[in-house]
Amino acid sequence: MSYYFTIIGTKDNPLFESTFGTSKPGTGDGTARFRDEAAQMNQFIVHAALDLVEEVQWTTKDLYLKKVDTFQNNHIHAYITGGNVKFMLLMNADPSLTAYSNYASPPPSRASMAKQGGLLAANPTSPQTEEAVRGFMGEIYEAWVKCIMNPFYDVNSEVTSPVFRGRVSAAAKRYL
Amino acid sequence: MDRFSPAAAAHIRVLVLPIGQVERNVYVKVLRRLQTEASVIYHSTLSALVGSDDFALSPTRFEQGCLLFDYTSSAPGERVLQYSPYELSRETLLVIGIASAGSSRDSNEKTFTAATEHLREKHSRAVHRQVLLLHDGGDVEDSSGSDIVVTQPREEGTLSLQNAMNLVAVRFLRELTTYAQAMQASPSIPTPGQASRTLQRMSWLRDADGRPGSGSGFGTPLGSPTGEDAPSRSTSRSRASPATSFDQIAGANAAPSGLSRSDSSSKKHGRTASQDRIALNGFGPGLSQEKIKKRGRARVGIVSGTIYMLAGLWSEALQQLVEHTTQARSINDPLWHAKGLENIIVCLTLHAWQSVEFQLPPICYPAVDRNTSVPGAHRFSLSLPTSSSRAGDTAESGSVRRLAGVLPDLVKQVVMLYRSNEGSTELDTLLLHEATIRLTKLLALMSSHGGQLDQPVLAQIVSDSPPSRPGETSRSRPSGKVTTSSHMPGSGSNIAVVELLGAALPNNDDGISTSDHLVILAGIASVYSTLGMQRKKAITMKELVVRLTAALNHARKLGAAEMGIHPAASLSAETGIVASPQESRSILNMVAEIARVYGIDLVDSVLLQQSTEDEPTNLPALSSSNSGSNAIKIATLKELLALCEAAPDPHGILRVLASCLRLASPKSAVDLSTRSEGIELSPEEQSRLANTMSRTMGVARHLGLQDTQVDYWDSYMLRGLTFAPISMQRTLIDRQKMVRAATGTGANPLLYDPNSSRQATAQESIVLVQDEIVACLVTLQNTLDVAIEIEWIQLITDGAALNVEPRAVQLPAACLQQIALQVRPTATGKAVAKACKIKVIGCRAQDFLLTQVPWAPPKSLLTKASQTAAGVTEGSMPTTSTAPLDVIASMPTIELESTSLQENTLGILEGESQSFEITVRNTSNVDATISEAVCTSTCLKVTHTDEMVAVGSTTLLRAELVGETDISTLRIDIIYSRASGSDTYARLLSIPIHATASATLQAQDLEIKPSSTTDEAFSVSFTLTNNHRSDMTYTCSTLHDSTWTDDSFAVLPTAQTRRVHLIVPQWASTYSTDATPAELLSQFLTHIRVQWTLGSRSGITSLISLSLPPSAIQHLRGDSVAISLRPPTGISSQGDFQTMVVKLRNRTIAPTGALYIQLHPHMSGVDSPVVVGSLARLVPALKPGEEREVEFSICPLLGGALEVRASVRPARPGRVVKEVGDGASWSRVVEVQVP
Repeated sequence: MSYYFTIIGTKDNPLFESTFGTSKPGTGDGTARFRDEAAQMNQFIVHAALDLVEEVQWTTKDLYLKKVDTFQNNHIHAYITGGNVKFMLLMNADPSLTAYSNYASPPPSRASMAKQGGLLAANPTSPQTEEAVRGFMGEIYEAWVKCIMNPFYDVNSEVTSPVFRGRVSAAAKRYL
Repeated sequence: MDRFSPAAAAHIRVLVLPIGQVERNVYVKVLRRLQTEASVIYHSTLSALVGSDDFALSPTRFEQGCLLFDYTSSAPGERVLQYSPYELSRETLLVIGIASAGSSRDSNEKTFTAATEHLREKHSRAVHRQVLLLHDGGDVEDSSGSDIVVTQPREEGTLSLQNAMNLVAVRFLRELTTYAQAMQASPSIPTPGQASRTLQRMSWLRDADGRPGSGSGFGTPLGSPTGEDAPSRSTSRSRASPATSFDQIAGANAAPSGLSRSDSSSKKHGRTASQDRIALNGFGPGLSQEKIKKRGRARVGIVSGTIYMLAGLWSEALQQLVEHTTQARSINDPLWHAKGLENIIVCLTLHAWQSVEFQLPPICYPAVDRNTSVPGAHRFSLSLPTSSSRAGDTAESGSVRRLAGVLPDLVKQVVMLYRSNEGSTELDTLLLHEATIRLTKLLALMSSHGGQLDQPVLAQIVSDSPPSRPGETSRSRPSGKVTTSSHMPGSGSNIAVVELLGAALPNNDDGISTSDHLVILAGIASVYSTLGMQRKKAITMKELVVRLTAALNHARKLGAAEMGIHPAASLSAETGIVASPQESRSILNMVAEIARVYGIDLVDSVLLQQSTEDEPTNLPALSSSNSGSNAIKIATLKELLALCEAAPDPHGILRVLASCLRLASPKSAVDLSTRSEGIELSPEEQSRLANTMSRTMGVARHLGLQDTQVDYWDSYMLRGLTFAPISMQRTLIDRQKMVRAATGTGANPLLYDPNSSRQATAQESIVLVQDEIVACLVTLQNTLDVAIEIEWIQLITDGAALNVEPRAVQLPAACLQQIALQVRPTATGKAVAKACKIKVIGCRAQDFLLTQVPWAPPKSLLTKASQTAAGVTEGSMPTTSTAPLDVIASMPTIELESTSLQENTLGILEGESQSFEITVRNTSNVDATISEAVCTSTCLKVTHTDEMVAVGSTTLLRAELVGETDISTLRIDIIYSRASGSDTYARLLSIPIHATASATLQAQDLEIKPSSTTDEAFSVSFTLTNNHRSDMTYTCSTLHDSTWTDDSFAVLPTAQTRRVHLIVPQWASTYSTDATPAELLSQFLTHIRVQWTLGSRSGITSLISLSLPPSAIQHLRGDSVAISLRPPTGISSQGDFQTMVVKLRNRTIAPTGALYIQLHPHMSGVDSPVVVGSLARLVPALKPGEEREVEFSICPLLGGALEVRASVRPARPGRVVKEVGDGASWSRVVEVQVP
């Protein structure tokens, strides 16, 4: 299971980006296994999912919007803050299977897939996944609120704080 | 007609072909007229033509119906034919030949017969073929026999074409009746499909619903009894078996191998759950004969119903469709069930469109068969009960609302059914995707109108008339979105639409040909656009761009290989056919659309800018710089660039390149402090872009393309604009300023002026002279790491025109560069220069406003703005400056012609005076007047003889120089102006004079004492030193009553000093206490003169080096009351009274008080009193300037030399002061010899 987590500002501008893999014992070592081209495609996929966020945000009272979009085998969960900043978590059970159209190179063999996956990967819409992501998002939200309290942080600007990055990876380790 | 129109199933595909010799524009015109005028043909108009003749599809049977014709000019691909009975509207049912009629009837007959024969041969599958003969004239006899004549084919608005089509429609309906009967007679119809590649696809259902493992419903496969039931295509590589039945023709335009992946096991929904789904309840080959028969009947019935729908007999069609679809459902024929349902939806929509009353058939309620059908149905709350019980509805509007309420669920169910498979066969992916797009488009159109099926939506669904452009939809979205969503009956149904649509995205191993793939992507994008999801649309369009690029490159490579060119060579634009700007306009729009969504500030292409050409100057555009992601922007631009290169479209390439460079530039008027907002592009990347740009331009020029120009990317290019005269002689002087400077009135009276640093409100204008070349210094900024070539620069003024000499310059990388231009004003008057028109190579000539002050866009503090609302200008704008100019009439120029000086440097002795002449010439073509000739030093004096200097003539100036120390460089400034007209401005001719002054005599060590011999005079002494190398003769003179009196005359040998003593009379008649020592000295120096002679040369030594000793000041000032003592006249002797007269004079301008005068006789060596007589006297006050003589009679008692002094002081009552001093003035000593 590979994750791409990003925080999107109010002008579709990414404020924070991070990729990591699952850290569940036996299933992952915490590193993402995205293919090279995914680094770019993930941004596009998340960008497209913003349309769905704008759709879903009016239909639920929660800030956590659960799974909002699917693109090929990428699933995107979203969380929206009061300042219209969106936390987007893209999860991909097996990035080697994703067919990014513009790259004709065949994916690596399925052998690498065997060790991928895990509990959460089994079903991106399952209640366990939703709950795990909810926990993750909640912790990120707390870290985020503290991050933007920093008087030296300008709204809608990129987050460079290593503390925040550390908190994100800690939350990822704990929940995902 | 859109291929993905929801009502595509109800359209009759009509192929319009030119036959024989038909002009292109006539054919196009007729085709366009057919599309606009005859696409809907109402039954009511046909009834009259049919008469009493009754046939199955007679329009008289359903008067409200109509025929929908979809006119095209191209036949469908052969592959489409295999879908035919399943999707009847794909096949060309009617062929219309367009032939132009000749003059004679016979030839017409012949043409017609030949054309009909031709059509019958070529289009044997079509249900009906008809030739339309075009007659230009209006007086042709009516159509007779089987030919149909159309008159006035080019004139719009006439009914000729409609009438012709009415006739065609009736004939077509008759033929269609036969076709329908034949169709009804067939036992069964095969399903177009392919071998099921991915049975896991069904797991998608459960993913989407979050309800795993419901193992019933449509997912249940249906075994096919015989092979003929499962026709399949050979394009899927996962299947080894070859094609079985009629479709060996398939694969004519199969996907290029480079794009499709052979690994079919890796499906996009790579889920392993429920692999065993197929085994749940398959019927296997043991399907009973009766069931096969039933199924065949149901299928034939559905097709027959579709034919009825095409024929416009909707109520009958609905009845048939409902009946047979119900049957298909009951015998578990999911693909036909789906087809039947879709056609029912179309049929109901048509009813609603024409406001025909209808009853919603029960099969449309998914809730009814929830137990056997869609697993996802529970997600949608059926809003039926509320809507159906609304009061005041007509029955018809009630059913429309019910239809709208049921549609979201129904569509979902249909899509699910389409996805199910029939035994080992599943629906062809292309059909599946197209159906999904059709149905989701229906939902999207509905939801964009608040979830209601009102008349505009219906019209749009049926006739596909776009209500608004997509751009407008997106722009109005931020405000309208909330209401749209909240009005949806099942809230969040947009999400459901997107979910359905997401699955329609074709995969690499779907085996869809590239062209179909592209069309499907475009269809998906269009649905997203209808939903208002611009970002989703953009990612789809991006995918389309990537696919298109790959396909274009592939095609070019193939083409090149065929032509025998190396494939790599084919990729350069030179060998390609360049798309013309008009044709590529839609590509341009697409590129712009993608760029807009990703927040790319695309440089406007010249093509799109023709309307704004006459705009005088372009303001620096404020771009929403921080919207969107930089990485995405760069990636998108790269893909767009690849597309333009593959096209090949030089315009597009340049546009994208310029946009890339604009992204990389900081979008600000830079200085050291402004932050860089641009995206970091490495210098290598930038130079690569620039190289591509110049290469593309070269290619474009090579191909002879016009308008390959883009906007320059940096709006803040012009950073400074100043003028400088070409030489010092051309400098203009403002006379008023000179006067102000001379009188000292121009200075700011405030010691501290807080506004002094601010720019003056009335900016001082730069003065230029007509027809005189000046240098204009233009400062340009280049923020990129590549050099920029500029072809020419022009100045833009509102007023007097300035001619700029065209000059190509190079702007080096990353710098602010000053460029000198030669400017010649052609007319006089005031003007304001505020912009430059700059032509950068490859960019169009653009106006750049002068942005002198550094500026960067402010950071937006509004966090609530959403991306789609971005671009609203907020905050400050850059301040632009202007340079006011004042062009005055031609000014003369005077130049130095010659001087009478023999040598460069004038040798002069100190104190010597030499004169010389200066000749100047007027070299201009304007008469000049010399107004002033001034010198930098007082030792040089110039007089000009003639003020006027005519054109080409000379004038003489006489100069006189007096030698002084430190006069090495002197300057004569000749100020002149026009002889006629205003002389506000003047010009200056500076003539430098070099001189060396040799030292002569030097005076020093001044000493001044009151004279002991003369009243009111000083005894002056100073030392003269001969510093010259030879002996000098000097004459000292003093001024006596304005005449010089020579005092001493001597020869002073070289390097020797001599003390000179002079008596200088007191020149000041009044006493003044306020004269400063310097004034006193200068007054004093005017009264003495030292002249020297050396051979024939002579001069006056400057005494300015003398300094006044402090004791001398009081002497020079003198006393307030001057006192002098006159000795007795005759010779006095002992014992005789002598009269001594004391003379007093009041030197002040005020009356004195009473004065006390005292005589002080003294004889050396005698202590006792030496005289007898009154020695003191009180004198009354003196008026200013009054003189008075006071006589004293004294008698000397002793013989010898008697010295007498007189003193005067203000009288003080009471006591006598003995001591000398305290304000008393003393006369000099008078010596009287007493025998």
